[in-house]
Amino acid sequence: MVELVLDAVTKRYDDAQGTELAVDEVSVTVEDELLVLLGPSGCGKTTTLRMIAGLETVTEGRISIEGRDVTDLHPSERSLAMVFQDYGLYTTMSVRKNMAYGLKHSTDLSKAERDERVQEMAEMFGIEALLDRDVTDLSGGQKQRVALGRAMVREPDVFLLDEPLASLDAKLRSEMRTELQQLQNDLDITTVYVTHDQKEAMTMADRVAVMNDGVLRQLGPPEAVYENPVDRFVADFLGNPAMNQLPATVDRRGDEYVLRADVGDGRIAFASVPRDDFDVRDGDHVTVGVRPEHLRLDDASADFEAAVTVSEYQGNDNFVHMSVGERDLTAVVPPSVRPAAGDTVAVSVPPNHIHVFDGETGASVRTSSESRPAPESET
Amino acid sequence: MISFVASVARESVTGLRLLRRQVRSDTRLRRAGFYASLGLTLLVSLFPFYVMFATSITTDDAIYVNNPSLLPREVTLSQYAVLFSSETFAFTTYFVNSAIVATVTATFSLFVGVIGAYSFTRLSYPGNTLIRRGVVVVYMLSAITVVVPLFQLIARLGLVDTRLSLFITYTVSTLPLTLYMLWNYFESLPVAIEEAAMLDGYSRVETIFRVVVPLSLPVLVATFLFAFKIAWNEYIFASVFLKSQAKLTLPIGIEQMNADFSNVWGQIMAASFLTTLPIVVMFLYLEKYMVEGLTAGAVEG
Repeated sequence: MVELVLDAVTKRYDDAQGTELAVDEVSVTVEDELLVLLGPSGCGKTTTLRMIAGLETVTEGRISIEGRDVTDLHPSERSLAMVFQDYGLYTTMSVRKNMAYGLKHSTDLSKAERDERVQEMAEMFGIEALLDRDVTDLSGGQKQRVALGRAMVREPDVFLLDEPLASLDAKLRSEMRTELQQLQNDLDITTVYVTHDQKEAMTMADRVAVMNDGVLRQLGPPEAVYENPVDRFVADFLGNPAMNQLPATVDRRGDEYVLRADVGDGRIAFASVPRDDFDVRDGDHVTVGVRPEHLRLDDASADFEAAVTVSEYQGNDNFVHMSVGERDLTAVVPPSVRPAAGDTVAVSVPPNHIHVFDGETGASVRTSSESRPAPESET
Repeated sequence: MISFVASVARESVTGLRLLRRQVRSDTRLRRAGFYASLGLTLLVSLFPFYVMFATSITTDDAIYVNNPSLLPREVTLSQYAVLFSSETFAFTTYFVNSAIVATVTATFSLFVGVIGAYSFTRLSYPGNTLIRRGVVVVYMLSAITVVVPLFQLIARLGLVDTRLSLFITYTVSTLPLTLYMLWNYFESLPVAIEEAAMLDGYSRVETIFRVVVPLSLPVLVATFLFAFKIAWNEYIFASVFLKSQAKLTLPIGIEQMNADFSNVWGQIMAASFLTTLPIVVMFLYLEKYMVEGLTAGAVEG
């Protein structure tokens, strides 16, 4: 049971060019779980991780591990281990020395005990045969295993991973992903994992923290964040292909609001939703969003028509790219539905999968009704 | 005389590189032009070196003839014998002096260089950029422009005619090069390794000497060699700061031999050859490190 608490942690860089706010008052508590910090490059996720590690100073706010304030401690006094994207192995040493070095420094274990620990950890990661090799001779996957082993062998309270799979090829990456998940399940160690890969985030995380421009946008289990994004950024960042988002105007028709999407050369009635569902007024400008997998092309009750531009065969489904007026839409449909480029298709939008965002702020006004009651996910 | 060796070394490295590139080009004329220029370069750089060696193994009679030949007709080691047995010319003392001065200078310059270059590349403090630029500017200054003020300083400190005066001035004058080579290399080292070391509990100083230094061996060797070479060959400072025979270094010693005695060219060439030898041997032995160190983003001296 280890609790890592970030309390309004802020990182500000001051230099001749002025002040840059890299991380803005991020608060989060991680306890015996795998938290993924997710966001585009430059969003502050790595800076946040490095502040936890003690590799960057904290401008404001506090960081504590198990109630112990570690904000001003040396990295080695924080009881944490870190795995770097480019491994950060000591290239002049053997695998065994790489793994044993931290132990020698940070514990009072005897040499025999240290060797035993290294051996155990090496077996766990399947690298016991490599122990006496030089790390420069290893493949990328092996290096990453050694880096993981080196981190875990110290039995840290908190485990930090900075894009650990980014340097691996696709196949190895998915293998290591599974392995890491198993490891985290087995060890149940408080882990913070930084990635820009939403797939890694969705598959591995107990909770995801989506960051942008140094701000923590949303925190919650992957499903909750996916289904109830708090704003357009989160909606756009999670999901592949990305959520379709169109500017629209609210048009009240009896008990329904009709969302009329602006497609450049006119407006189309994109979707209709029940009035009591959400808080907008007649004539409001909003952004309407729908995930590609919710658009249907084979339904009789079509909302509007679209011209197919590209149809991508994916094996278990098809990605269909379409244009409506000047806007592009993407649908993910079953393999049986495979329109050709140039075809005109009838698109239907199920009302219960409609997201509506404020036209100005981009904040969510309505999320897909399936997953209601909505956000318990804010920090 | 001695700087030929360095230039030969440099030429051969660039020559090899050129060669590799040129092999692919197909026109014969181009190849002929290439080999001609290569031959000319080698001639200019190696011929004086050859004359030096040839003269050093020629008898005095054969040196001072009207039609000197390129090949010594009669090989003798008498010039070398005189060098080591002479009462008036203390070659061995000069050699030892030079070795001490060059070794101490290169070692100290390397040590200060490692710490300084590390601070340039890894620590942020006010004035970092300014000091870096200053180093480059100082590197551009030639020794002759600072020798008078330096002498005044050395005199004020009471260090005239001491080895310490050379240790200090040589270290300072080799530092810009050392710093520049090392910081270029350090910048190419991944910071993650050092950060991993910090997490493993190393202090900053331990990180430098346990992690950075072992990773930088090639460039450290190259840097040491360049600093050594500069100190070994240095003439101006030594000629101004040193007075007593017992402390003179080789370049000054050889110069004095020319001034004090007449018609000793055979011995001068023998001494010059022996002066050149250590640098050549060091270079040949450490060449693979040098090339590795130089191509890792550093400059030559």
